[in-house]
Amino acid sequence: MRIASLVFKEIGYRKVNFVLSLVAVLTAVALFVAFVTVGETYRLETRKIQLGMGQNLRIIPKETPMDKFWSVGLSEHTMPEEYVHRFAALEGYEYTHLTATLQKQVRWRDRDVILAGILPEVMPPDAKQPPMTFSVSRGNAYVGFELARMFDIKAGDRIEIFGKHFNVAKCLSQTGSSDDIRIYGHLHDVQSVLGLEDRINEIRALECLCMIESGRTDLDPLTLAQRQLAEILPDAKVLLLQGIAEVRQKQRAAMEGYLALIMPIVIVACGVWIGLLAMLNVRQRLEEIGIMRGLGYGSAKILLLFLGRSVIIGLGGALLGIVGGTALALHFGADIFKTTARAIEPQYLWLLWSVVIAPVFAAVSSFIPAVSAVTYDPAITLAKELQ
Amino acid sequence: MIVLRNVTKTYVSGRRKVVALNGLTLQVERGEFVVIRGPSGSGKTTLLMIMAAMLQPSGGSVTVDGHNLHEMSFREKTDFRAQTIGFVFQMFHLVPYLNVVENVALAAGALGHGDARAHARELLRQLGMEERALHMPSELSVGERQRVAMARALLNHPKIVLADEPTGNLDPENTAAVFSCLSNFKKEGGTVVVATHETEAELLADRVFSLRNGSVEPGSA
Repeated sequence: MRIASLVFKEIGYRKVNFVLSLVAVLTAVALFVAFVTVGETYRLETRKIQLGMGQNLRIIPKETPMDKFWSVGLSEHTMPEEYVHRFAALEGYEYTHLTATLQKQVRWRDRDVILAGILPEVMPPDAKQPPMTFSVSRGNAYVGFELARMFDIKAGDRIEIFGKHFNVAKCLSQTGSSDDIRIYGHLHDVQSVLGLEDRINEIRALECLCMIESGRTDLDPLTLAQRQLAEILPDAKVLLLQGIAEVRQKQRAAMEGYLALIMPIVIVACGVWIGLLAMLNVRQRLEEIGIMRGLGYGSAKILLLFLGRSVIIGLGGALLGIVGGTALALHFGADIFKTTARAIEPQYLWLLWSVVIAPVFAAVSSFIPAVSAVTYDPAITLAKELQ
Repeated sequence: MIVLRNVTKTYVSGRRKVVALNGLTLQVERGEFVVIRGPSGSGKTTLLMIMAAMLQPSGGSVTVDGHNLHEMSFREKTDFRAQTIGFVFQMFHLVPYLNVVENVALAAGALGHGDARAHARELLRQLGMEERALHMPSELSVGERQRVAMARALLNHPKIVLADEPTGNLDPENTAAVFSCLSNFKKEGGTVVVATHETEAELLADRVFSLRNGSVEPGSA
């Protein structure tokens, strides 16, 4: 008789114990898979929202008076353009989509307009994402909706700004913001027009809120950014736009906090459950162990008999738990965690891990009972024979 | 050859001590059929379990074919049982989730042999149990269960069969079948030690011993 055959026949004989053990693994895996699936969806959705909201980190010259900054919407002071490259070269931090701008409110054709020079996005050396903001080529200009309407400017026209000529590459659609009275040009063109070579007055970037994402909610992202940038950009101050993304990210961190609290309890409870059932199984099989010992079965074979059973419980529980957990996430995840139901997708890597980890978990939970089975003395087991 | 010298076995339960074997000395030659008789509680099962290396004596020595069982490791004792001993228990001890032929073939697994079902069926045929091969133990009579246990003990071609009251619960027909099987084993060169009350066994025995007060006394053969 092969050990595998013995294992399957015993499972068929003691179905209740097997099913109860299976339910323990199923519960642990299903909860884990459901949490991980919804959590990952939450993370991806938050990222999408964050990207949709645009850059959330603003770096402006240190001496900028904030009352003036918020009333005008830009700094009247400048800082070196080189700051953006220094910032991009900062290693180990999750800042991306860096944009250096120089903006100034000017009088043009007897109107107040904002002249904005924008440098094509600077990405950290290892970042590969496509740009999330537009850029303007040298010699070209993008004209805001209100200015284009007011002066009847169309794409293809040529305009002159303080003695320098620009091709109107695009007239922007209405935004309902100060962008409607903005003229965008390449940073270096605008610097030249304003006589502020190598100067900028703002760097915008996307701060990924990775600290919150990694569960370190004790660190305020703004404080962290200020601390990190103070050393390399001494003449700058940092502003972080609080937004829905951060709120959601904190919700997710809170959810993961619950997961961190609940999962160990679930795993320990299920482990103890499996262990107790394994102990019960060993006690039910003392006579069988005794007779096998009497027949000359070695420790390894007896151990395999019990651990093999546990591995089958782990595998079966994992497969059922994956199905159950994914179904749980798909059916209830969207309602409970306020995500887009369509966005919830099975996390295949974690599913694969579940299939690997669950049998190990079941085997570890049953290990002590299995070892106790191995150490049973056949004479004690068959003691009722002794007279 | 089985040699027991001055073997003692004392069971301790709390403050109570029960001496099962008290300086027992016995020698069983290879190919011999030996019957041990004695009243219930006289230590017959203890004696057989010590011979099978399933029980450690409190004192004395036991050697089988020159190997001292005391000096064997746990693993060596396991191998010794698998290769040398066929044990027939009074209570049969069949595995409840295996059918008859699988219960017999179970013994082969101890030696790492593959599918021994064909050999198991042949033994069952010799014991008149062929038609019950696919039945579960719960579907068998007491006598049938004992014959299955007998077949299991013989499967690995042991040198020695130790049988503990193998016919204690059997009717005359089944008793005859079991002793016939043991007799055939002996004729093929095997050593048999049977603990029994049955006088039929004594007719087949080369020697009969009585177990009294923890030691053996020669009986009639």
